[in-house]
Amino acid sequence: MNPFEESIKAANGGGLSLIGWIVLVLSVLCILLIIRIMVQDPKKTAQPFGKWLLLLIFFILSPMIYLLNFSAAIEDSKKVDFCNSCHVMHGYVNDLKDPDSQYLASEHYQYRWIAEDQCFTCHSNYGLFGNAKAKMTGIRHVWAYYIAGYKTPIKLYNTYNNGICLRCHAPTVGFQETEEHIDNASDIINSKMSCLGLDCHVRTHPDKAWSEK
Amino acid sequence: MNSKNLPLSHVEGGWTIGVGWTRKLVIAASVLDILALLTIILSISKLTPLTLIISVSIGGALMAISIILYVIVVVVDLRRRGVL
Repeated sequence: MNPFEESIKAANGGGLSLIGWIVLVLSVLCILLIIRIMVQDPKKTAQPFGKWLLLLIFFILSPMIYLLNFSAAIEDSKKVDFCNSCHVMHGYVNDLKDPDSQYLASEHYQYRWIAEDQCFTCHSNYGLFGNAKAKMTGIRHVWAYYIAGYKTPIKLYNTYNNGICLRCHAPTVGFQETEEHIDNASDIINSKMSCLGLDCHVRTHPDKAWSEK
Repeated sequence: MNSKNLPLSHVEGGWTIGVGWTRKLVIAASVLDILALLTIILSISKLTPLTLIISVSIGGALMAISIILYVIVVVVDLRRRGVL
């Protein structure tokens, strides 16, 4: 057994969060209460206590459970394991977790340059609607995965936004003093020039990652 | 008989949970709410893109319908009691 199992689990945000537990307990409680009220003698359920209890469950507890679950699920959907729950992502995540991999995404993961939610961090834009846009894209992915189908090899919908890289790298002196960055600043900022390829940076993921089972 | 000419049995217990079609509505609302909560439990226990979307969309829709049904029951009952 790995002696660091607990630390790894904590780093990956494994297990149910506090909100998750609250949602689970409240949901089970509501279901039991509803069943209890419903299986009672109908005359008894007409008593004020049963009616108020149902009112509480329908109007307050259930919507509260829904909203708590929504916020917890949205937060948990940023995790690498969530992305890995679609088999087409296995190759990408396996490469992330491969200590011998030299791909850019893997190095960001292995060296913890991005501490958590590594997939989401690099695949969501910053700004007010960055997260919302990423979630909408996620729904599009689910639609393609389960219903509409998708073409392989998998590609990004649009040119990768270099602003996501610059968010972390631009403030560093090492980045600012690199001649190639200064010479091509405008094209880098406008995403007209990719950070990858040529004599610049290595690719982010293996080309055939999508085909790995 | 009350002011709306309804049998007293309809108003004795306050709301009409135990009587007629409103009880069926309450049962329907309860079943829908239980189903919605089950989709939420499913997404909490095993979060995948599919369970997340089911809990948020189908679960939310079922919960909304159950609330609407219960609102109908409350309104009908309040009307029977002459409050509305």
